Amino acid sequence: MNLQDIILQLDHYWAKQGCAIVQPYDLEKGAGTFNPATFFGVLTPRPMKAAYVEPSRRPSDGRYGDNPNRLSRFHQYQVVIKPPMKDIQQIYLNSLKVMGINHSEHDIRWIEDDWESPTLGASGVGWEVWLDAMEITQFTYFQQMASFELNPISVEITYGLERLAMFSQKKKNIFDIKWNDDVTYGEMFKKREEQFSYYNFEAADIGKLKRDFTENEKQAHDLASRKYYIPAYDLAMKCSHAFNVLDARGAISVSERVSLIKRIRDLSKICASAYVKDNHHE
Amino acid sequence: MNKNKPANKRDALLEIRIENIPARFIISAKRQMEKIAIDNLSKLGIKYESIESFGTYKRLVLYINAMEAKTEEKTVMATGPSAKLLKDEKGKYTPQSFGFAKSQKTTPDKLKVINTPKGDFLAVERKIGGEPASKKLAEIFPHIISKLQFPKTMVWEKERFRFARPIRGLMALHGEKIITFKLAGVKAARKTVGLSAKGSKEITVKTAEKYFKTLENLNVIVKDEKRLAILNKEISSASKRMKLTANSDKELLEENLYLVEYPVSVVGGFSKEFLDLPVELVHLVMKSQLKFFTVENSKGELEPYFIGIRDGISKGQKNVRDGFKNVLEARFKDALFFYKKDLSVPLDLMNDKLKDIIFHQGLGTMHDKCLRIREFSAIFSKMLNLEKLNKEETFKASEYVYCDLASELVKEFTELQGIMAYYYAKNAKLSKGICKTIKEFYWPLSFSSALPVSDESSLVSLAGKIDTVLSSFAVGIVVTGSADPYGLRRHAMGFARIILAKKFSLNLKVFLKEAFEFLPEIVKEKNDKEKLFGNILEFIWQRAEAVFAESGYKFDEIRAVKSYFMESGDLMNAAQRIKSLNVMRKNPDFDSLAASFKRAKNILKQTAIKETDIPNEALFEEAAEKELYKNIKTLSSMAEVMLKNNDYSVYLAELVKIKPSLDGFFDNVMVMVKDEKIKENRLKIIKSLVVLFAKAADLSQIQV
Repeated sequence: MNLQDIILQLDHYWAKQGCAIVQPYDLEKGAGTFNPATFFGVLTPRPMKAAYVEPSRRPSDGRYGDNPNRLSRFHQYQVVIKPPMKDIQQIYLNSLKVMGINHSEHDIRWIEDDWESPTLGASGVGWEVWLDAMEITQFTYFQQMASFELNPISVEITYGLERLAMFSQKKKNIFDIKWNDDVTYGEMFKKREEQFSYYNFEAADIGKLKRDFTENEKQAHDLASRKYYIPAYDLAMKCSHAFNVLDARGAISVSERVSLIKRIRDLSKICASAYVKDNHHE
Repeated sequence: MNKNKPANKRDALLEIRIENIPARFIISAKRQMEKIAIDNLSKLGIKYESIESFGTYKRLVLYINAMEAKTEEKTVMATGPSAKLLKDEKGKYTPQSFGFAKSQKTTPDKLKVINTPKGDFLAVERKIGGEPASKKLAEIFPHIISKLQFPKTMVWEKERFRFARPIRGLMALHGEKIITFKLAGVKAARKTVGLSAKGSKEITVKTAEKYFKTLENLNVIVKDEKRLAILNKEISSASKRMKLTANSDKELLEENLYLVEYPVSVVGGFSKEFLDLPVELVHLVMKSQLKFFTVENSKGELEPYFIGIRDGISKGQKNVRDGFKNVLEARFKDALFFYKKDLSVPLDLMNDKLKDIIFHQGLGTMHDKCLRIREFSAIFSKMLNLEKLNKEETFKASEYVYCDLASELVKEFTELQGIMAYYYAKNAKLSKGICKTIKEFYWPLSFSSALPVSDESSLVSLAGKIDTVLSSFAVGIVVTGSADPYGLRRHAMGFARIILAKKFSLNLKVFLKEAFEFLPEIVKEKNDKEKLFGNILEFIWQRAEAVFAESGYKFDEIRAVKSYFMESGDLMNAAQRIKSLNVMRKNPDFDSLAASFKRAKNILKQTAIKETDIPNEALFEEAAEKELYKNIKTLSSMAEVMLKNNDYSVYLAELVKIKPSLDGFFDNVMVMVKDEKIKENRLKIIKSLVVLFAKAADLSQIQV
């Protein structure tokens, strides 16, 4: 099944489960969890079901398009449900069927893998799901977000779309994946990988990134303190991405790293606090 | 299952169905379930034949064989006020007897009188028990579930019940009866589910006794032992087919056992070129990451095959085998890419990157740490005066022990840090001895694992460990309870084990004094040296205690030598003393000697007698004091030579010989006499005796 069809099938499947099919958020981010639909969405008591594709950037993982398994920008398919249905595991397994993966003909295992995001102040308990030993999904029951204990709990299901497509199309090289019947992944994104690897590892302006970080951080604090937590959170995401590029660029010392992570976590916390306060009376 | 069981004895069953519980949680959970069940069943007087527990990744099962239908009947006696208070002078029941009767839910006319040694009392006899046991299970089962402890727990539903993973089903049966209870939003029933690979179909279990069979028919082997037998058979028949041997170590077997409900092996091969990778890396990828069994030939060399285990079904074997192979090869390919890249970098260039890696704030870079290790090795070598030590190789090796820290491969496979250095050194054609020293630098990796072998590797390993401990203590890193982020305990333990195994006798205090000078100035300024060294000695002693205890020595013997170690800083010598003490202890006179020593020490507590005070023999009055002091002097003159030659056993044996004269002294001589001069003189005799004893060990620590 081509990658585009996998997305369409998943959209269709999760829409039937009652999920709002949300669109990707238009800012750089390290993972689908950063999308405000998830970040803010899991904080309040109100039930929620959402699913969306999220292009995610991990500057350090770039390999100039040379490595058949690595990308600096890839696509997650993310499902967030609060509270989780009792048979959510089986609902997830059934979603694999729509991609033509029949459990009885494959080995599916759930390997303990608790998740933590130091920059979001978030943590969860869950698994990597292995399909014939290939990790295709991260399945997590969030316990904390932005240092808040969550109640009710949300489940987050994150599919690695490229992995699924490689599996489905029996490809050993990401760039050989068919996006649709006419276009390959390589045609669409290989050049991007080359150029962004150059940017992230060699060319990104360190001084500018550090200034951006500080200025965005400053304004985020100011906005959040005046209850404008939504734009404040956008700025926090920009800080997070700047940090990731600086890290890939090798511009962060060990002690700096700890303090920068804490600064981003503090931003997440104040945005979340302002949001929770604002939604207190619903 | 049901053979010959009387109708009133049925099996009882609790199945907790969980979303994939981690394999490493299961064994402990089973043990806890059994223990809590046994305790509670006995408390409630419920009899049964036996209790078993089982586990898979999605169920924890408690099984009670042949449980009595009713709780045990017993008569209990409740005792009340004195029998005199039953009736007043007018023959009427008193308020006290009414009160007691009421509290026992009866009337005063039913009260009895019992005789006790303390007098006669009012009493009520009551029969308890005889209740349906299944009713009690409805309390015990949820109690068991809520008492289970796990390394990590979570919440998932609105009651916020904490458990390892979400509970999705509860089955509780006694015979055919459902034990009714509710927990974490789940109601106990007679339903469970079959194999995941077949869609986890819901099934009804008619009776507890039919549970295992019902599931087995659906390819779920609940009993661990039986599943393990199948797993072993799968692996051995796969090995046989290949005419090779599978490496089935216990940990990997256990992990696989709890990852499946019905083990089915998947055998495949991979490209031979990947066997050029270091064997540790192959093991890491295959065993730790993918849970595959590796395969060896008769010479113990790896062969390019794997045995994977899948859950429950042998449909689509080719899919699974291809999938396993692809993932394995992709990981190998990644590793090989980085490994080759690292091998192409000149070793000194790679090692140079240590200058950019901070060891710890205030303690400089890893390069600085290497320099200290080199210096510390030199101090050790000077102090130990090892004749055959190849100093040049020792120092050279210490420069490269961390060379892999900056390698690409270790960045990707962090678990290989400390292992790859050897391969890079070998690739750079460093001498065999140097490579081996680098390889063994981190040893021992655990409490019981192998130690560095040669003098060279032992020295460098000691230097690395003591640097980590010394420098961490010097910047104020403290180890508390479970918090030991820098693994200082492991370092100190390894340090103690190497010293003892290599029989290195040296004064650690003298070493620390010299080593301290190599710390950065700002760190030195902040430390009170004596206090710092004391803390480090204390810390190393604590670890060494565990090593001594493991060798079979008693804690009081170990403690008796602690003050000697804190004074001398010589761990090896301390160990010899413990050993001698342990041997001497078997002497029948030893215990009373230790007791006399304790007595002597106590007598001296309130006095100001100094070690240098010598008794005046002219003041001796009693034969017993003359005799004792004569023996003390004789032993004293021999002590120096014996202790210098480390003849502790001989010395201790001589000490024991002093016992008759010591007994004579304590029996016949009054110490605390009125004449101050005589009193002080006798205290001096005791002091000289204590000094003599203390040369061996602090015998007051010995538990008599």
